[in-house]
Amino acid sequence: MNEALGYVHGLVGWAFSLAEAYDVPSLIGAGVFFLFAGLALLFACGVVFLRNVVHSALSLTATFICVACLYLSIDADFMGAVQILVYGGAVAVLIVMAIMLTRRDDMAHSNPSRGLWQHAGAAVVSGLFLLGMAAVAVLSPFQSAPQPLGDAAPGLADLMLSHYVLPFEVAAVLLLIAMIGAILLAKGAEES
Amino acid sequence: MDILNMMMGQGVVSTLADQLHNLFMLLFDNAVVAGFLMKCVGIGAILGIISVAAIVFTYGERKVCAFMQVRIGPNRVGGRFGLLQPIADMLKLMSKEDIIPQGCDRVVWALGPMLLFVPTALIYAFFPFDNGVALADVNVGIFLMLAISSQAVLPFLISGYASNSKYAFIGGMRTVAQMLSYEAPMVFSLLGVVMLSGSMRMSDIVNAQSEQLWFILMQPIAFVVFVISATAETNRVPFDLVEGEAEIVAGPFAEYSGMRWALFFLAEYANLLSVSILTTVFFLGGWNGPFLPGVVWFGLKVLAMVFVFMWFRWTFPRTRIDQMLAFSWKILLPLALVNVLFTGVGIYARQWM
Amino acid sequence: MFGEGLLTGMGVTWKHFWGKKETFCYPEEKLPMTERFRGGHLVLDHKKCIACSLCSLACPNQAIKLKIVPDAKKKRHMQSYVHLVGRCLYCNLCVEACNMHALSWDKNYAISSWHKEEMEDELVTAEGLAYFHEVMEKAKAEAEAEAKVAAEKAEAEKTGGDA
Repeated sequence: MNEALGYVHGLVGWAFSLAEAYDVPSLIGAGVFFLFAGLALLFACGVVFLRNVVHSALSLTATFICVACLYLSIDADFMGAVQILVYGGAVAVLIVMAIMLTRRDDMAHSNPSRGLWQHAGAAVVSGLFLLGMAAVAVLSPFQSAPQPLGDAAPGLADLMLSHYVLPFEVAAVLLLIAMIGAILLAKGAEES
Repeated sequence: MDILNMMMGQGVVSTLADQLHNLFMLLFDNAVVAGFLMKCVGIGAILGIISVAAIVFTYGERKVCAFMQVRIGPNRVGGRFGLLQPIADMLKLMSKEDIIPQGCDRVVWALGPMLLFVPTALIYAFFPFDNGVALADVNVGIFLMLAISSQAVLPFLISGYASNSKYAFIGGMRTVAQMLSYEAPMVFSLLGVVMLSGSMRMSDIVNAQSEQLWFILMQPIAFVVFVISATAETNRVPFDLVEGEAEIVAGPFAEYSGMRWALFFLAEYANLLSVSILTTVFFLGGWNGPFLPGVVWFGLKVLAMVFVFMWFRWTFPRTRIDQMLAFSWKILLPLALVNVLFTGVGIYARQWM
Repeated sequence: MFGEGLLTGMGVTWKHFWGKKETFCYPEEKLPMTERFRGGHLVLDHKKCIACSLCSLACPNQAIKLKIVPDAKKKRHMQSYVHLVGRCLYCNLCVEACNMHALSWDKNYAISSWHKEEMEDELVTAEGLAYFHEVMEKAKAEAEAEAKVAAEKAEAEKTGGDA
């Protein structure tokens, strides 16, 4: 019994010393990050290439959630939660519902078909965009935080209600106006 | 988040977890492996709780329903009290034919019930079952919990859409309308609780209630709003517009049979348990209570809340969809906002005193 | 008050939840029938019965077949009392006709059967039959004893007369 325990201890200890030597923990962290990044890209491709527009919308939702998982994996809990709530919850439902409500016919081949020229144009434009983004990402001086952020919510709240209170309120008013406008549009013309 | 929170605290469950951890340490002599195994045990425990809850609640629901309708309920399978009835139900569901409706969107249709179960089970990770017993006691617990539970809308919608049935589709649309409109008052009613406890971490909220009063006494309006909107979020009577048998057969579940339908069923009871747990954590003082161990108090409160939700279900008639949405936007949401306002004023006044 | 009706409703269900239930486990428990319920099988109290056959005469459908045997003392006893359930219309006339209140209904309404042959119900139970035989034997013995006494008396008288 004790010998068996000794073997197990030895095996585990050896495996961990090996793992320490090759810096496996950080490898796993990077692995999780790239796993979700890859999944996000995969689903994003799905949005473009899937034939059924509802499938595209669902794929878009999966992309949102993968991005949220990316945030969570880099310890940005609050950002992750916001991403899930706003994009995964509200925006995704909005898109899916809008598609379902506005299209009546069979959805099997509902993604708009594109000609060769459109393909080429889209490729050029998105390639240029990708280049631009890559340039920005490489050139901008990112700083890593000196220590883990920890509880981000109070800090964000302080910033929003003190330093950035004006943009915050403006955004709120803008949303309110948009909402009133939507209600007016939904109600239709004057009924008087 | 990394360290297993089960290891802290002194409750019954914590002690048990400690001993299990010691055993793993003895076996493998490595903190990382032991921690990983403890996480696995925790996940298994949560899934176990959900399954057991589904079994117990089916029986409980049938009995409560029967008693309130002056009947005696199941009394055949498993003795005089029909104790094995849920097992019989489960066997029936498992042996049923898996019917795939013609013209349905096959992949999405099959994904629906599975995806529905994911957020439902995922939020259990944030629940503090006892002092220091939570799988992931994160600092934005409430917010993350709400965000994840809001993901349950889309699976309903896609299973309604993919069934290729008008009833299922109407049910899916209703789900979206209902769950989105009741999310707002629910969040705002919890805001008062968060303001009082000053934290979004679930265990902090429970601790705040052991220092102050239980929040059901300090936030009665929020409690009422929360319970009503939680009933709507779980799609239970009087807000079961989503499945409303008399109107749209069974809503999004109409085209599912056998084990696929059982997954919806499981998710429904998991939701019932989770809203009861949430009510307990936010308003009934969580694991706080004299004499008995914390986890026992927690269980008793949760079961009481489950009973209350069942009581609602077998008392009230179904509302109409327009009345129900109007109730959410015109009554519950203003009430919740007023509650937030008064809570803020109250906190401010207390600082001055 | 807003929501008062909801609370009232919850009160009602709460009371019902703890209150007495209207249903019961049927085959194991049965609802007790009322005093004058007519149905099920007839029950004969073999100790009260005087084998007068008034019940059989009262029956409009001839649903009661009797086998009456006189004992040694010329007293009538019921050996067999067959109730033809298929013919019976549950009019209760037989029960009313009985002067000795020996007939009654067992009120067991679950009497459906697979075969027509099973619809003949023998009311004289094994116990009743034993009682019948006992009474017959007793009457026979008594009659014999009486006859013996009478014979001895007659003998005595005869010899006495002679003497």
